[in-house]
Amino acid sequence: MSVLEQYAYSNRLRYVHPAEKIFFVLATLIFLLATSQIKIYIFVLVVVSVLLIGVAGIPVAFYLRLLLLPLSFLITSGAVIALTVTATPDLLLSISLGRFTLGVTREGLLVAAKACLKALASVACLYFLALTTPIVDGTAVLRRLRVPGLVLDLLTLTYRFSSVLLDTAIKMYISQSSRLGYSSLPRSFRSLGYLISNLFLKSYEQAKMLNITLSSRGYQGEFRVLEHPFHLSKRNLILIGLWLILLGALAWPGGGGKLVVRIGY
Amino acid sequence: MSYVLATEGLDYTYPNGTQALKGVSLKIPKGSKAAILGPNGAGKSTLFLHFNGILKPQRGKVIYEGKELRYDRTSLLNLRQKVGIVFQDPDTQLFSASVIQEVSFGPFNLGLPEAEVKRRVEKALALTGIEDLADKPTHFLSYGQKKRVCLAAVLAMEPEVLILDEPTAYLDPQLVRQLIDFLEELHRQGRTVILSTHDVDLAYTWADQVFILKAGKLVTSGRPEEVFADRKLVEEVGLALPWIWEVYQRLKELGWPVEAPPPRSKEELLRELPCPIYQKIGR
Ligand SMILES: Nc1ncnc2c1ncn2[C@@H]1O[C@H](COP(=O)(O)OP(=O)(O)OP(=O)(O)O)[C@@H](O)[C@H]1O
Ligand SMILES: [Mg+2]
Repeated sequence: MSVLEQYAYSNRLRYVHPAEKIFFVLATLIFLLATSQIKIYIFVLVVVSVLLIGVAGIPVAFYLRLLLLPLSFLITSGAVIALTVTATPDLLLSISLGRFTLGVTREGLLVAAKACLKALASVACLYFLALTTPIVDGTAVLRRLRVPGLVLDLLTLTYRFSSVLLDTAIKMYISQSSRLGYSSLPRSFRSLGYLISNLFLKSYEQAKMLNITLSSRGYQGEFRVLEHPFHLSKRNLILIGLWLILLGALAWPGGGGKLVVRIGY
Repeated sequence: MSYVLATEGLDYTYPNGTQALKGVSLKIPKGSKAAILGPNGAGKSTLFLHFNGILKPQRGKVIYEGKELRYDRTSLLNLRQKVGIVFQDPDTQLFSASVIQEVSFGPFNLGLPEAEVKRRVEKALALTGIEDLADKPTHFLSYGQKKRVCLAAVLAMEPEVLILDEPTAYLDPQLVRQLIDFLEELHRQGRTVILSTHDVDLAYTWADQVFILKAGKLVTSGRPEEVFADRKLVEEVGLALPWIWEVYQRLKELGWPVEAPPPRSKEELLRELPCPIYQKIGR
């Protein structure tokens, strides 16, 4: 989680307007969901991966490991989709189980591959957002989109405090284990118990303190802050437009024509 | 002399029964450089929370610019525009994951226009030497860097009275020097600076008013050379004497011309070292 964030702050697309990145990802995701053509899935997966590695500068090994995370889950669910149980044994591969046969059909395999690739391409899109756009930039866009301030303030605080919480937990864990707190199983349980209960006490104290420190700076119920001045780039917008047209053209013979018009606007 | 902040018979007991302040009465002159000294748990931070109207005295009162503090919303907001406080633990102060957001928060609350906020944020970032951290998330910073951010966040509000709770802890020597220079600058502008510290050398060199707290009570106060003159009292409290003061005392015993005023800094001490004393020590 925290490594992902490190890249979000240091990648080469960091200073691209977050709205452009969000629009790119959302439009592509909608496209993926709407189309049922396997070549589009593969195309999106390849292009997004190339963008992340080649343009944003995310290390290949790290990115592949990220993609592997959902893969194990995809393979098992893919297998379940691919498997068929029938009484008529005309399957590619099969085992017979008494009256029934368990196996895979060509269609089943295709459906499974489609589902897996669709999911993988969508995940790659989401990674694109997560790896190039820090949360704070995202909230800036949401603010432009007139999302209520209260929601954004909550988002800001939740985000900040989940890092504080994680940080505190890690510090406590290090401090405990450096004093042999996790040297045996029973001791580990006890240490973990202390850690969890203290973590909550600490967070509570910290939340109270935050209220104090905010009000000492004149907090009146709304966070008004400077945001990084991002500029929309014409070039990027044109590229995104071209990308969507390209996707549309690819999908065209498969009857995706109407969709293109809708997204093109 | 007019006093910017004062307390009279201030008592404060935390809900768990810890008596943190016991009848503290003190007066901080306007435009002064005040240092509050005292061992851990003496009540320094608790006192500061009263100066900003965050804690309400259970007995006694806090006086700002000659008027007793009132605790309704508008009075508190007014007070907090004038009195800024940098807290001891940076993690409790940072609310945002972005340095620039954190620093711009206070100035916006003062109702300043965006251009002015930008100007102040840039100035505060430059003063604390963290321009290059502006776009970094606060949770990837080192502790000292976080302290700088908190400092910048309050400096950007340019308060009349600046309160700093152990500002030098965790800062590297270079930044401590920069900070002191900057506090001098604020002092020249006529602002009041109050800080708490365990560093007696810093307090002796920098401050013009020293207050010593122990176990919730004000033990002594006055000009640094008055306060440190009472060696027994200072040592009883658990504080050390400033080394410049120690050397000066020893030299006086050895025949330092008594009419010279006590040196306040290393430079002053070295500059005024008279030759005969060198000879006497070398005896
Ligand atoms: N939130 C709290 N709840 C209960 N007791 C507290 C709380 N904060 C401080 N105390 C107690 O009040 C007393 C004064 O604490 P305070 O933080 O003011 O000391 P301090 O002089 O700032 O010490 P330090 O030099 O360690 O920062 C201490 O005995 C402390 O244990
Ligand atoms: Mg303290």
